[in-house]
Amino acid sequence: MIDAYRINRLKHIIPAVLIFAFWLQFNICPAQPDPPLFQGEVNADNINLRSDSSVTSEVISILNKNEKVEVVLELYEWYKIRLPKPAPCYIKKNLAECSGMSPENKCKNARVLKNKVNIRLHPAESSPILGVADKNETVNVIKEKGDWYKIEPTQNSFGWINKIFINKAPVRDKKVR
Amino acid sequence: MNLFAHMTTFVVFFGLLIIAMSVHEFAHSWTAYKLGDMTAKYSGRLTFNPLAHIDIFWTVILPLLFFITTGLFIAAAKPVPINYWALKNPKRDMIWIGISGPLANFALAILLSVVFKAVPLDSFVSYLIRSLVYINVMLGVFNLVPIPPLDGSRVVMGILPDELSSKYAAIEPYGFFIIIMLFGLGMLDRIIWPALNSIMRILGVPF
Repeated sequence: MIDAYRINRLKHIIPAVLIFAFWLQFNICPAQPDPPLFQGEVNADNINLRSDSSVTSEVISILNKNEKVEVVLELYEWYKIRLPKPAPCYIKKNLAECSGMSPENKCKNARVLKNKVNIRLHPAESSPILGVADKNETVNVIKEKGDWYKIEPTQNSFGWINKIFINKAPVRDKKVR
Repeated sequence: MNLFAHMTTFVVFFGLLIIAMSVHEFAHSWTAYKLGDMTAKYSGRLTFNPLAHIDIFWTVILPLLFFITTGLFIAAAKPVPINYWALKNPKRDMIWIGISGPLANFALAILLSVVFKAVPLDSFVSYLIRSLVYINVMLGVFNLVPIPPLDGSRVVMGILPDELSSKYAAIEPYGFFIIIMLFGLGMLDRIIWPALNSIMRILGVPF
């Protein structure tokens, strides 16, 4: 039975717990990259890899049968997957500094200068965000485009695919010979 | 996306859009015919033949120009001629004629979503079906927007009292520009995309 005294005490405990949970969220647990859920395989051709979990979000690229994907999250009828290498990604030049040159004197690598820098689908700030990069992370530059570097997807860049197009890839156990 | 994939998508979509559009226009013509107006039938519009419904400017030139210059896609079919006074109950019948187009698209989408579940997922036919479902739903939802040249406005005009209805019809010449303006203001994001998304989820067709 809950009497008036206990209710009175709860009144203080509940906000205290909430504040503590809130504090934990921001202080103890840093943003962790999603751990992989499983390896999947695309089961049909012309599958849209999208920037969000809706059929109206922008298409990042089109995947074909038997392509391998790394699923990190399940959300209703969608899987969140780590972006495959050919997916287009852009990072703003003033947020990354060139750290490696190719023999033809073109930028090959860049070091990210700030935390939580957005990686985008198009070279424009209005385009969908595909992922983030943190300070001192190195990204592989493909080419320069205006104020942006076109880069290979970072470890923390993701896209969405409808679940029915992904099969769990057969697990091949490594046999020791 | 590379240019080749982009162009292939464009061509496939355009072809499927023509099919969806023909069904849509046929539905208008058929409803008008059933409700007593022969105009559409005599102008050769009571057919699924896409050539009868294509308007060289609105269906071909305008979408191409729009796509090349802005990357957006907007197209329209030749309007079905309706003789208002030939209808048995003009004010009410216009509602049915207007709504029949989107309804036909939704009906086709529902039918195709059933077929989709019976066809192997990795076949090309399956790809065409889910694309066609998407286009039909999009066409249906878009046409229900109540801005005068669009079908949704016919419903509104049929419901409004005569005086308001004719005032409402007066914005028709500016309708196209109003729609373009609404696109710029995010009508797609706020109205059309959420509706399209929900319907696709209900139909269970991924895209």
